[in-house]
Amino acid sequence: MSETRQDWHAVAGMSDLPAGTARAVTLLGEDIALWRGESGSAQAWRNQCPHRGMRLSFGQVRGDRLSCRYHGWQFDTAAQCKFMPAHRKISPPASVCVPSYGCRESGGLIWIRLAGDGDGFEDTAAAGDTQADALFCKSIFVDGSLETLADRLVGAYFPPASRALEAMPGAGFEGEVLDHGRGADESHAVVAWRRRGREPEEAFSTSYHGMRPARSVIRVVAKTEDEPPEALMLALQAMTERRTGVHLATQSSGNDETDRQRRLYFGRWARRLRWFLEHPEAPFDGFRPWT
Amino acid sequence: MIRLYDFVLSGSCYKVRLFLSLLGQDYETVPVGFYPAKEHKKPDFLQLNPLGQLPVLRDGDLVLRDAQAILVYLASKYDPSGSWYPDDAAARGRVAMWLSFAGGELMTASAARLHDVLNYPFDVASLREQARQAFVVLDDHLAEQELRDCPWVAGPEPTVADIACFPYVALSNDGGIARDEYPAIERWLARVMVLPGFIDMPGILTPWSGEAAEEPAA
Amino acid sequence: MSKDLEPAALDQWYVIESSEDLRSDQPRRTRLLGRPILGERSASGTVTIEERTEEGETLRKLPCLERYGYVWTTLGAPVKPLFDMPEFEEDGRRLVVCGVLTVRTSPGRIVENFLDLSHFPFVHTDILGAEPMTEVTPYKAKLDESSGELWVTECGFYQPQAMAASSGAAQVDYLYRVPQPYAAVLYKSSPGKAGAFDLIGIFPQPLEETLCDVHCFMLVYDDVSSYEGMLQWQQGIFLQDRIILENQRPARLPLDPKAELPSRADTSAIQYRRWLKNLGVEFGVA
Ligand SMILES: N[C@@H](CCC(=O)N[C@@H](CS)C(=O)NCC(=O)O)C(=O)O
Ligand code: FES
Ligand SMILES: [Fe+2]
Repeated sequence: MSETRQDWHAVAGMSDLPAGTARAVTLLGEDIALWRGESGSAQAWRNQCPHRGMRLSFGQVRGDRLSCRYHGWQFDTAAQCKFMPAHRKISPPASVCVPSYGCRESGGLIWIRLAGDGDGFEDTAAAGDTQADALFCKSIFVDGSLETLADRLVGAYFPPASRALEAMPGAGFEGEVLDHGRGADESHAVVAWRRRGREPEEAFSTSYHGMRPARSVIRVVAKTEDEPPEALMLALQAMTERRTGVHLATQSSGNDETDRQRRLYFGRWARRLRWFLEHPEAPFDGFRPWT
Repeated sequence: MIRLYDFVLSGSCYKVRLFLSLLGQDYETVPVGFYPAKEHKKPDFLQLNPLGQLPVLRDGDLVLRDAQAILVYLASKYDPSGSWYPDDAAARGRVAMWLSFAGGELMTASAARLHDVLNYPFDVASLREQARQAFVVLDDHLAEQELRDCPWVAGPEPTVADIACFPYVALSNDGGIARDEYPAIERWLARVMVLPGFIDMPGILTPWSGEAAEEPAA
Repeated sequence: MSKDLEPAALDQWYVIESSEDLRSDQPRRTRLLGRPILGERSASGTVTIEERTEEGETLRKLPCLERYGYVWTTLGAPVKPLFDMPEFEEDGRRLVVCGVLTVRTSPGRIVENFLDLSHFPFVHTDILGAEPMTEVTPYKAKLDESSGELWVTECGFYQPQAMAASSGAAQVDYLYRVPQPYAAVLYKSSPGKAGAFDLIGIFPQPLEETLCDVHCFMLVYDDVSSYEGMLQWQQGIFLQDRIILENQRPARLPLDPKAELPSRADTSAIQYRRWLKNLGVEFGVA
C-alpha cells in the first residue's frame, strides 16, 4: 500500500462537502478530517487534534477556521492553531499545527494524497482526464477491495456503463454497443459504437483509462468526430482492504435543467450499480431507469 | 398544561421536546426513572403506557404514547399553519410513510445505542447493519429530494416526518454508527439544526451559530 | 488468555456495581481489567465476587467491600485501604447514583476529561460553561506525598447552570481529588448550601483497556430538585462527554509528554500523566 500513498485518490464529491462543514473520510485505512471553510477550498487533515486527540471531523467550521469540538482550539486553512480559548490573550506558538495532506478539487471530485506534499496533481492522469465542467452525481460505498471491484467494473460492467452514457438526459448522440474488448495494455479498452440507423464505419470508440493505483479511475468516453465527447467517470476510493467508495461524475451539459436530470439519472444508475456490486452472482443488466 | 413523561437520554422523548420547542409550545416534563431504576416497567408507569415505553404525553384527558402519534397530534392541534402535518392526501401519505420508517427501521439505530450506552443485551452487529441499510435508504432519498428542490424528508417544507427521523440519525455515533457514507443525510441534519426554535440533546453536535460571542463587560 | 497486569493497575479498588443494583435476583456478570468477574448477592444480603475463567469456572474469590453506595473489589493487593470520603457522613447531603454508562475508551481518558475545565464551554455549552468566558485561570495540581493522592486546587469557572439546583450563572469554585489513578472526585460550590461543596465522583470500571463501565455519583446539598431531576441532569452531562471520549485518538491515554500538546490549562492532565507514568501504569495507556 505504501506506494499508493503517493497517488491521488478521489474521496468525495465536491458538492458533498458544502462550505462550512467538516466530515471524516477513510483512505487506505487512514482517518482523515475533510472540511471546507466558508469561502475556501477543501482541506484534508489528519483527523486528530494535536491537543488531546479529538477527531477534528467532529469540529465546527467557524468562518475559515476549524474549531475543535473538545476545547475549541481554532485552526486556520494553513492548519495552524490560531486561538486557544483557555488562554484568550496568548497567541499559540507556530509549532501547534495539524499534519495535513495534499488536497485538490477537480472533475467534480475531491482528491487526496497521503504522502508527499500538495504538489504533483497536474502530472497525474486524474487532472488530465477531468474536465472543468464536470458534474458530480453520487458516491456509493460497497464491501470489497478496490482491486476486486475495479476488475468487475472494467470487465462485466463496462458495456452497460457505455449504454448508460448513451441514454443519459441531453446526450448529444444515440448509439448502440457493437462490440467490446480489452486493450493490449490492460489499461485501455475499446468499444465499437455506431449510431442508430447509420453505418458501422461511423462508429465511435469508447475507452477507459486505468491510473495508479491500478484502475482506480475508470472513464468511459464516447465521441464522434462531429460532436463533443461525453464522459462518465467512476473514481474508486480504497477506504480499507474491505471497503471501497465509488464516486461517479459525468459532465455538464451547460444547461441547468438538463444537468439536474443527469444527476438524478446517474444517481439512480449508481444505486443500481451498487446493488449489482453487492450481489456479484447476478449478471449486471445495464440500466433501465424506472421513472 | 401539556405534560411530557420524559427521559433526558431518550431520542424518542427528544422527538417530542424538539417539536414542542419548534412550535413554541409550553409544556412541563415529568422525568421518569428510566435508568437505572426501570420505572417505565413498573405498575405506576404501565398504567400510563402498558407497552412500558417512553415517551408518553398527557394533554388534558388525552394520554398518548408513541412519539410519532404524539407528533401528529401536536401538529394537528397546535400548528395553525398546518405545514408540519399537511392536509393534502398525497403529502399526508408521504408523511405517514416516513413516520413509520422513523418508528420502525430507524429504531435499530436506537437499539444499537441502548446496547452501547446502557448495556442492553442486543445483537449490536446486526442492529448496526440494519441501521446502516436504513441510512442508505434515507440518504438516497434525501439526495434525490435535493435535486427536486424538495429537500425535506416528505416534501418541500419540513414536516413531523423530519422531526421523527432526526433524533436517532443524529445520535447514531452513540451507537457506533458513523455517518461518513451519508453526505445527503449530513446536509439534511444541518438543515434541521438551523430551524427556528431548534434545541439539541446530549450526544448531538450542532453547527456553529455564527455569533461572535462577546465577553460581558466586567 | 489474560495478559500479566502490572501492580499499579491490579492494586486499585474498582467499583463493579452499585449496591442497589446488585440484587439477589440480579447477579452481575462483567469484566475487570480484561478478566471475567461475577458479583452476586445472596438472599441474606452477603456479596461475593469471584474471578472466573473465560469458560465461566471459578478461579478465586476476590476481596469485596460495600461503601458509598457501591460494591468494590480488587484483583491485586492494595497497599492502602479504600480511600475515605468523610463527606458521606455529613448530614443533609443527598446521594444520587447514576447507573452504569458504558464508554469505548480508556479509564485514563475518562479521568482526564473529568479533571478538565477548559472543555466546559464547548462540550457542556450553556450549562457548565459558555463562550466567551473560556479563560482558565491558573490553578494548582500536586501529588500529595503523604496520602499518595493527586489534588487539583484553586480552580474556578464561570458556569451558566453549575448544578441541577442552580438558579442562574455563577462563578464556581472547584477542586479535584484523584485518590487512585482510576477514580476521581470533584468538589464544587454548592448552590444548595452557602460555603459548602457538592461532590461528584466517577469510578471507571475498566472492562478492557479501551472499554469502561463508568459508575458515577453525586452527593449534594439540594432540597429543591427531585431525585430524577438531579439524576437526569448528571446523565445528560455524561452523554455530552461520552461522544468526545469515544472520538479521541488514540483511545489509550498517551503518557509520553511529547505525544500531545498541552497548554497551561492542562496542568492537571500533565501532573496526572506524570503520576501514572511514575506509578508504572500500563493498562489503558499508550
Ligand atoms: N414506538 C415508541 C418506541 C419508543 C421507545 O423505544 N422508547 C424507548 C426509550 S427511547 C423505551 O421506552 N424503551 C423501553 C422498552 O421498549 O423496553 C415510540 O416511537 O415512541
Ligand atoms: S482536543 Fe482539540 S482542542 Fe482540545
Ligand atoms: Fe465534561
